[in-house]
Amino acid sequence: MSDASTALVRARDLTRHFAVGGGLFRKPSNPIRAVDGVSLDIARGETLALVGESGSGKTTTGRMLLHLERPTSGTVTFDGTDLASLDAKSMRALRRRMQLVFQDPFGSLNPRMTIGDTVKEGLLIHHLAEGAAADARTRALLDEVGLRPEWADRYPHEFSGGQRQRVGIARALSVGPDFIVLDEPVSALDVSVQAQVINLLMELQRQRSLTYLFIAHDLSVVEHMADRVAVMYLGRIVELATRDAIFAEPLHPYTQALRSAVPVADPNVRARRIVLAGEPPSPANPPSGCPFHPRCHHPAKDESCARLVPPLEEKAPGRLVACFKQPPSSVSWEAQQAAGGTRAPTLHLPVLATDARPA
Amino acid sequence: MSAPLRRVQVAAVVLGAVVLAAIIGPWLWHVDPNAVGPLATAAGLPPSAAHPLGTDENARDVLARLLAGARISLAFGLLAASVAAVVGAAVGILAALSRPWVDRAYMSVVDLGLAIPRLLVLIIVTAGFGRLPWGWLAVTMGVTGWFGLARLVRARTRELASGDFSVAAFALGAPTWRVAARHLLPNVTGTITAAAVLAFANAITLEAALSFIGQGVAIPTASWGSLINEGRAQLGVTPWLTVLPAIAIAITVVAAGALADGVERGAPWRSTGGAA
Repeated sequence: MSDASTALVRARDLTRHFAVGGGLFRKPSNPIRAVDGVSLDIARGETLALVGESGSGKTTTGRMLLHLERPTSGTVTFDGTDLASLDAKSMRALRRRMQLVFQDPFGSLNPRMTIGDTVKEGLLIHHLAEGAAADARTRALLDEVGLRPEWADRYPHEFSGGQRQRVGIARALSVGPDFIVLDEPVSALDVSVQAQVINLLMELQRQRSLTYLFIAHDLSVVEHMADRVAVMYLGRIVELATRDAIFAEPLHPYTQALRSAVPVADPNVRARRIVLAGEPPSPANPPSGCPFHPRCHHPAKDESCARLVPPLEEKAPGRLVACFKQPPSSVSWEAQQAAGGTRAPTLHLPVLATDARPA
Repeated sequence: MSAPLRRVQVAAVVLGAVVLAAIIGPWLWHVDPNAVGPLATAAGLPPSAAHPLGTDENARDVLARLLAGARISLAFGLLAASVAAVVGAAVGILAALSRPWVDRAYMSVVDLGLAIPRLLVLIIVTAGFGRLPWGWLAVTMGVTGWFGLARLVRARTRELASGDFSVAAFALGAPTWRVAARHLLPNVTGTITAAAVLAFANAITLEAALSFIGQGVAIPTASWGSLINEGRAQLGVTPWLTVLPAIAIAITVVAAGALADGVERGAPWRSTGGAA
């Protein structure tokens, strides 16, 4: 994890449970544990990627970091301030410094507002500029994200998905944030447009010293952007490491599967794809023990995986992995045997297609 | 593109004609709608040159009464619908943005309002206060007619408030009132308009129902509803007395609906024309 002094955003044991069911004739069922104990630090100026399947809790985690959703438990600290300690007014003031870019370029813009008004709104809310000065700032922001300033008077329906996404980025930039949660910002775009938006985001990060949480559902997009990668599965972080480590030598079996799904642009390389069996389980009814065990391909998987919850622990310097079959583990072999373990932990590193693993 | 446009144009022309007829008709057709003619010779006449739409059983000119009724009915529907739209939209939006228990309290009131038969309330009110001037009757109609509209607006507002552009506004630090005014209200106007058109139609027909039991606008004031009611007894003999105001109501309600729908679709933020 990053040095505490440089962490801009710090989350500790975040959980978010949604109550479901419950009515006149039905007992409320178990709450959905959308996020179940997530801790992470995001250093100033870095891009932390949060990767996981839909339903893994990555969007909810992103929104909790911005306090757009209240955590059921746990704390979020932004630049040393515990967000839960702020009253509504101070929280609104602090929102200048943290922003959000959405996945859906259509739903994220108010169809009844011109894109100029959409971009300008943050300036007006925080009294950063008014009147003609606000209009000038709006045009400059549109220009900065690669849109023509004279388009300010147009409505969202006149733009393509990529252009709308740029409007959303300009809106986020308008208040001059330090931290932006990018919630799958290119997932809904054509591949050709994805690269443009990614480049724009990287350019903006360099010029404005932005800190990003980049949420994605696979590793391929992350490769170009991320400094570090956190992999989520069923509401928990299962692996957290630098991008290079994740791509060269993923340690968690789930990360290995994600890694093997990244396409390789070399026809001579034969990718060995790890195909996961089945669907991710429902967070309303998660498996016992390790949440990943029903789909796990680790050779040492045994009965104990269904009984014990593997802690997120450091397997190598700076590499956090939640799998006690991947040594070294703080869950002793005795404890595993007591839980029905029949196979001792063994390092499991599938040979990956790109062969970038150090020899 | 052109078929819906044509529909809107037709609706606008028809509604414009009805409104125009209501406004300037009584000046052009200069006959007192309440003047009773000689009953022996002029009652229940079929259409003729002197009376283009005939006369009723009191020998009053039907065209004059229809035009005078248009004024009352349109104004009545408009006033009732406006009251219902304002109250219903305000309650719906407030409820959608309130804490759950406040929301539940609002919706309990709404459910209660929906559960009590509206005609019964109107009868009790008119019975208690006597014959109300038509304006007050219309306001009463609005005050008892906003419950369904509030439910619709609340549902749409809740949907929009959890949508991305509302979340974006909250994320920018916008206070709730700003999100409501700038992001939610403009996007629920379609719902409000559609429901208000229904309220407009309901008010006109409910007024007719009240007239039926003698609690509508005061005699001899003509409204389309009271005209239908007056003609009802003679339906077999002089059917135009009932049919003409019924057609007027139908045309007005349909045109208003088509116009509201078309305006919503054709607005600049919705236009389906290609991106320039």
